[in-house]
Amino acid sequence: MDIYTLSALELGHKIAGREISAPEATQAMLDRITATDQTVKAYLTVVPEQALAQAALIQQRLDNGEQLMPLAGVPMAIKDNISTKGLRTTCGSKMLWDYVPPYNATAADRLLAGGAVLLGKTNLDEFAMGNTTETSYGGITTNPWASDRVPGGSSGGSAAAVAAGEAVYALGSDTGGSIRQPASYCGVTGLKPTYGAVSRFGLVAYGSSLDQIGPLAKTAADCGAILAQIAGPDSKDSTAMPAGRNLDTTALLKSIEPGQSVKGLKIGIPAEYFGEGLQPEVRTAVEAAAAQLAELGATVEPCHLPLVEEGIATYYLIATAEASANLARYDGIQYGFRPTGQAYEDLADFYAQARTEGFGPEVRRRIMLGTFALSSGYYDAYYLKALKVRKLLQQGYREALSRFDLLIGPVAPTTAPKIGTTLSDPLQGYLADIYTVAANLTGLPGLSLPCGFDQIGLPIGVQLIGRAFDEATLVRTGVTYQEATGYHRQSPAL
Amino acid sequence: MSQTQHPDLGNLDQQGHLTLDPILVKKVARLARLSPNEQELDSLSHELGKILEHFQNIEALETDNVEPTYHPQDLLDSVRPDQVQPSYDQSVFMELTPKHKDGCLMVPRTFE
Repeated sequence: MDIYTLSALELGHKIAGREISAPEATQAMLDRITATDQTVKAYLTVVPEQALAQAALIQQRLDNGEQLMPLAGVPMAIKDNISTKGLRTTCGSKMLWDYVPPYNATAADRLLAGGAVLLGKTNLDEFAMGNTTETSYGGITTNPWASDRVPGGSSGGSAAAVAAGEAVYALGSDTGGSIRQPASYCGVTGLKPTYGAVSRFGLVAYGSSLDQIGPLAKTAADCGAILAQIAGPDSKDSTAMPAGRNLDTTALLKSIEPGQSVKGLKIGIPAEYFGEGLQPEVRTAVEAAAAQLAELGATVEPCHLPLVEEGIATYYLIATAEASANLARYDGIQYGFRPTGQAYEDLADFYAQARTEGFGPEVRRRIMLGTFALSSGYYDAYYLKALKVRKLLQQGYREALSRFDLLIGPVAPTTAPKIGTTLSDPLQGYLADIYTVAANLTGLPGLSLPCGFDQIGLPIGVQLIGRAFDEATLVRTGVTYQEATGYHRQSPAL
Repeated sequence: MSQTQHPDLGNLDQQGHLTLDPILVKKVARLARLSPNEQELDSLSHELGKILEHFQNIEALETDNVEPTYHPQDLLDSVRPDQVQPSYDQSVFMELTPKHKDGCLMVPRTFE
């Protein structure tokens, strides 16, 4: 048995039962990283000594009988836009290439306090702006299933690390699909929690009304266990919902237990999610997943959702407007990249030089788009309009989820494209987010599950969207589906 | 997209796609504190034009009586007790700055 093939809960169970020690598990994962990451390039930073020291400490605590989380001692990775105290957090950008945060993100803190072992930080599209992990200053991550394909993004490093067995699980962030889409491309399970379920403290901001931290793992049960550890109110983030209005951790933990059922669940299958541009193999696999859930006892019925295509414009106008404001803090003076050896006309000129040199082309493009949408004369027609369409979209999803417990559809229109094929046309890249952005605009939770492979062996994902803070039903459905199918157990040959 | 919808945005190129007016792109770049070179300005005119052209699919939607949504959740005012909490020493953050001296940020000289 190779340790890197185990799920997080399986490995956690073996560590708790003294079958495998935390240092042994950590060494096995570090060996795997050494063997495969030259090809996959999932990590921007690996910290072997720190990980082994942490593992030894966790083992000592377990040996002393301390009560830690069920995933104690399990080695994991964190996306490099989530702050880690004393450990470089680059956001895949030249702007923050040497930035070392003095604090942990709350989500990272909660995992580490529960006994997680941090292996390193994973690659991403610069500032999480992209869906291919090709725009990182640290280079391109490849898809473990085919090295000429992208892993998806922006949490492409996290997804690829889990798929390649280089991390048992990983944290990612999802602003418009950045957990679910790479999970789909890499054949792993990814969960975007409800907006407000997990604290955003320490997550480097992109679109603040859309960003959420969530898990990528081998199974839906793992995702549930990780989410239970990181969710909950946080005095450092006023948008993390208070107890009582946040998700029910007890119900969530119950949903990961074996022997779940989907009997009685009503699942809607929106016709608009199967429109033009959907790869036939993706359609077939997603329809088969819906049929499988029906066979397992759920009621699956067709339904309609409004504004699926308009979601793209709505999302990109809001996300880039928020990004243009959030990224205004990078001025080359307070922290981050600072140009040297040039003459400047004034401070504004210095800021412009620092930002033009420190940000990559896609980040600059999005800042421009967002600045335009917020600028005088265009604000009402673009930004305000998008905020109003967002309301219509929310009403549509709310109405659909008053009739259904879950909605089912594809995660992405295609399987993973070849490296270098989407960056040349930014609009085409944006359109690929069609099925994922709605969950962010509405704040609803979304789960991406492996559900098949295309003709050349690339993974396909199916997406489930649930009611706000009802991750328990999402995870329960995922666990039931994965008990009946084997797609999530397939691994790439590396 | 027809030119008459937003005549102030730019012109249509030979393929019939919107190209943003370079003066507008320069103005936005100045607001964004970015300084694209001439080649980048030209690319941005085309790319942003094409993107905004597509985004006009939300223009026709009836939203006159719709309230804008700034946030996905119906958030209450979320406040914590007004109590003094330990925080970081100023020096911790000063160490993160590219240049500092005697507890102050250093900026480039802009006056002679």
